[in-house]
Amino acid sequence: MTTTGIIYSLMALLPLSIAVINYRLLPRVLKWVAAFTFFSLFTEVTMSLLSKKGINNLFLIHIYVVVEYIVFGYVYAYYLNSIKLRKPIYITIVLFTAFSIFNVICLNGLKEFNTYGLLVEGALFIILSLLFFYKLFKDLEVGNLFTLPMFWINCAILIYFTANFMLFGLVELFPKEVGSNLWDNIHTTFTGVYSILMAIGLWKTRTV
Amino acid sequence: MENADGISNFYWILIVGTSIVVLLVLAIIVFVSVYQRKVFRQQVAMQELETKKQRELLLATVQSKENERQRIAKDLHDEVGAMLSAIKMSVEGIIIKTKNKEAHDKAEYTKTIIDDTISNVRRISKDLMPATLNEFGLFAAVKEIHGIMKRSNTNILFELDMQGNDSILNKEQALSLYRVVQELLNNSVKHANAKKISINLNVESKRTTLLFTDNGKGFDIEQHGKIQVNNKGLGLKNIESRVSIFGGAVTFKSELGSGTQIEAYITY
Repeated sequence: MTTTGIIYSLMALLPLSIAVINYRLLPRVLKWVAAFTFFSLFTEVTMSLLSKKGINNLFLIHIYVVVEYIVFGYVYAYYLNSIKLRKPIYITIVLFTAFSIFNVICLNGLKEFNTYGLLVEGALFIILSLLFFYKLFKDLEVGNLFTLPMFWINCAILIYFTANFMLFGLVELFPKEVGSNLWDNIHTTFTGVYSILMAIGLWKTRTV
Repeated sequence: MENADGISNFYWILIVGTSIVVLLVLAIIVFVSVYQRKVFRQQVAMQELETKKQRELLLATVQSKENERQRIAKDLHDEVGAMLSAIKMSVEGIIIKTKNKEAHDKAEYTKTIIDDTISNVRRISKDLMPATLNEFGLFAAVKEIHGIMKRSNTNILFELDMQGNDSILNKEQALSLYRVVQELLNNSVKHANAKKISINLNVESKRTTLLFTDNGKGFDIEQHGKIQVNNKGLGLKNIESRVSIFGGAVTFKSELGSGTQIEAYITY
């Protein structure tokens, strides 16, 4: 496992540990987020093991991206229900899954990096997270935003996917001279930020 | 050369990308700040609305109470008073016509009782709804109640000082202040055994302040709070309610054995 891979895994352990500690206190919808942190770590470990054995592991990213959108799409559908977005979000889940299958068949194959899938997923999550902020601002139901678990989770998603959106968009532009290390380091940094914010979100369930 | 350009372009893109992420974080911070301020403003507005509703409810309660008092005062004065006067005239007729000494004495005695009852009915009717307040305003009504108290409690030294123009007060404000003075005077005379009572009423353009002082036995404010729970000390609670309707407040300063000082104000 590379140094960045180790850091990635350690960062992923943070929300995972809190998800384990707080699992019983989490509302049903956030239990899906907690479960996803397990899936996330499982995928990461499997990818590292396959990489070590010299087996192409990029197919896992295709699966991971679809599962990630289904889980967080469901979470957003739950929280954005009051502005009548549940059905449109469910439709995007179906459409995104269909697009991912199309992507595997026609664009980025299973053995290629899932650039298009990640770009579309990033764009969708940016829109959903901004809609969540809009909903917060419209309803003004929460006295202190910092006590709202979904606020932290939403910040994690907005920052991480905006960064990802640019990184995966730039992946083709990364010159060989710069090397993949820099790309990895930037990605790891944002993964760290994502994990910390996600961990705070899962921890804040105790204060609600 | 091409590679060098590529790296240069890449770093530019990287700088722009990083700036966008930093701006995003700043935007979240600004969002939180604006949101919290908006929530705070909303909470303040809701509190004001709640206070306004409570005041309106209190005003409605007080007004309905006053209306009922007015009705009872009118009934007492017009019906009971008139009937008593008729009885008195009838008894006076008996006194003139009777030649029996015993019957004459009994009729005289009855007439005295009727006179006392008539003056009591008048007093109760006046207490319930002071006509002076409606006709001549707060200062005249306070002067009147002060005079009555002074005449019936000659052992107490009364001081009255009224400043300003009471005509700027509306009917409800004047009535509330009058009731407060009435309640405080009754408390001091009946319960505090005060030997000196001082009333200072100051009507200004934006607020009216009442300073009431006596040298009576005073009371333990904390203990009084407990008594109120048992519905025995509603007088002071009523004072608070009456002034709070008009955005006012009341402060009680008292200790057992060292008199009482009460400052109440209303705003308009």
